[in-house]
This record gives sequence, structure tokens and C-alpha cells, in this order.
Amino acid sequence: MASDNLLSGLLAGDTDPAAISGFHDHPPRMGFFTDTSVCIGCKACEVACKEWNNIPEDGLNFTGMSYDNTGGLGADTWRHVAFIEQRKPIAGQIAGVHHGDVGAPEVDEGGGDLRWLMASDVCKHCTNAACLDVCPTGSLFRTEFGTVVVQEDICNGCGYCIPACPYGVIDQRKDDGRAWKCTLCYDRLGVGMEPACAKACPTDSIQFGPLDELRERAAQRLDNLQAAGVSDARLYGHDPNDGVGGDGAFFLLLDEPEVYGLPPDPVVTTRDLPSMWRHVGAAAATLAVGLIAAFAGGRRS
Amino acid sequence: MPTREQVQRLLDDGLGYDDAARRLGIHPGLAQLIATGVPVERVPAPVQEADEGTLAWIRERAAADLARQTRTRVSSSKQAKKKPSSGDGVIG
Repeated sequence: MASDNLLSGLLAGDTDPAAISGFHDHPPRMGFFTDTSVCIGCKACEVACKEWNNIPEDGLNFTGMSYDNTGGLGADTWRHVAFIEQRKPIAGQIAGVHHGDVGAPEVDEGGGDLRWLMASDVCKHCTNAACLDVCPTGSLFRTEFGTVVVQEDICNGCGYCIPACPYGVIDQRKDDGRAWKCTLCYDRLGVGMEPACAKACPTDSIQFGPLDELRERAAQRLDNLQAAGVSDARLYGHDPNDGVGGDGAFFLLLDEPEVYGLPPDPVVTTRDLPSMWRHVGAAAATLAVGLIAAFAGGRRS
Repeated sequence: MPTREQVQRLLDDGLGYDDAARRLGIHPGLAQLIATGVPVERVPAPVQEADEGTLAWIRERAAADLARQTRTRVSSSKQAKKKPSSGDGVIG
């Protein structure tokens, strides 16, 4: 039944991941739009995620990287607020770090301009999710909301999904070996509630809702920012024609994706698998034909 | 899992979210999320100030507060006039 739906979905050229995965009837695809231009780096999203999902401590480390002591996404960090310090003024803002009047040493390199880029990173819930493709147990699955979720009680800890993720999001816990990542609060969605991070975000930098509505909202916000002179503003992960078929969690960034530690051109790592298997098949067939020919020729002589 | 159209059809038939959700076998909150795209916690709460009874109560309470504050101010100024200064709080 599911395979029939899958086939009909693919034949119909359906790009909705839930439909492709076999959900004949399903709600609109849900996702995140993270507008980093209004992120204040409060980390309420990190805390809310940890509390709601009962995620263990991810280490009490001092990284020395601005106010970021989390480092990056991992098995025990499903939301990560990145802090990037730049010697660059923000458009329309009077920038500058001048602490002379409070007795602090004045740091003045390059005019003293400083801007902080803050961005709350998360699993992208890709349209073409390689982690899901390579999972041998079905632990990773596509939900009716179009999101990608790990069922930890089925995960056997093989770790195939870890290198498959083009964003380096999914990760194994050291103590039990199983893979963990953001579920887009699948349990909360089931009763109509928004994910904990979006609920906790005080500036609405993290917005949750139907993906098509979020894409419209993001395009409008981008237009407004560019009209206001923020020419570096751009959307990331919104394009259904990118290497992963578009993300279920996309971003508005104020600089190049690399600045935020995001890959500039992510590609689903299983993209070349069909072609690879075709080549393997062709090579095996050629070998078989060669062996048969050699065997037949040998018997004749 | 129902589509937005399926939920909407039941709502158009005059059912509330509770009844529509019961028929579809889902949580009422999810029915609302599917139909509106808005999570249940984000739906604006009814504004109490819009209720005439509440507004009357607020006006009454504000007037009472003003009267009490005036009484307190008058009585404290009378006490201040009656009591001579004891000299920087030193007793004796």
C-alpha cells in the first residue's frame, strides 16, 4: 500500500516529501523559518529544547568563541546558537565598542566597529534526506508533517546516517551509540502545539508554521531588509531546487552561509547512489559475459 | 492523518474543532493547527477589557484606589505636622 502510494507520488512528479513517503492524506508540510536578523542570542531555544526533550548535558566547556560554549549541533544539542563577531557595522546602527568612560581598556582595531551575528541552527529536515535514505532499520522516518524523526528505540547505532548528513547535524551519543537529532517536537505537533524552541523564542526569530506560508513570509522579510539597505541579507535553504530539494528548516542570514558554519551548496549525499549502482551492475554484467565467453572458448579449444 | 481540506469541510458543516477532531480521530489542537496553520498556543486569548462588566469593575477599582491614596496622603501629612522631629532617629 505504502509502496503503491510512493510509486504514484513519484510518477505524479510530487515534490511533497510526506506524499512521496506514502502518506496519501496528510496535513501541510510544517517547518521552521529562522530569521537571524532578529536573533538576540538569548539561547532560550537551546534551553527550551533541552528541557522539553530531556536532552542530557552536552559538556560544560569554555570554548573561547565569543558567547558560544555549545560549539555546534550534536547528539545532545539539537538547537545551537552561533555567535559570530565581525568588525563590520550593521546597516543603520551606530556601531562601536567604546568602554573608555567605564574604565575598561579601549579596544580599537579597524575603527572599533563590531557586529554580532547570531543564528540558531537546527536540523534542516531536508526534502531529500540522505540520513533517512541510508538508515537500514527504519529508525529514521518521514512524518506526515514532512519532517524527519529518529525513533531511538529502533536505532541500532550503525552510524550510517552520521556521514550521510550534508550539514553534519545528526550525531551519535557516546554512551549508547544511538543517533539523535531534532524531531521538530513531533510529540508537540501531534496536539497542535508549536516546537519548544519556537515557543520560547522571545523575538520570533524562530518561526514555525506551514512551510509554504513561511517561505512567503521570508521572501517579504528579505525584500523589507534589502529595501532598508541590508544588502547582504539572503535566504538559505528555502529553494526547492537546491541540492537537497529545499529544507524544512530554512534561514534568513546576514552574510555568507560559510560565516555561520553552514555549507554554501549542500547536496544530498545519496544523490549519486543510483548512478553508482548502475555502474556496478554494468561492471558485474560485463564481468559475467567475459567469464562466460572465456569458459565457452576454453571448452571449444 | 487528515488534510487541511478535510478539516475545513467539517468546520464548514458547522462543527467545532472538538467535534471535527473526534470524527477525524485526532487531537482538537491538531485539527486547529491543520486548519489554520497556527499553533494552539498562539491563538489570541479573548481580551477581557473588551467586556463592559470588566471595564466597569476596572473603573470602580481605579476610583477606589485614587480615594484611598488621597486619604493616606492627607492622614500622613497630618501626622507629620503633629509629631515634632525626634532628631535623626536617635531615641532617648
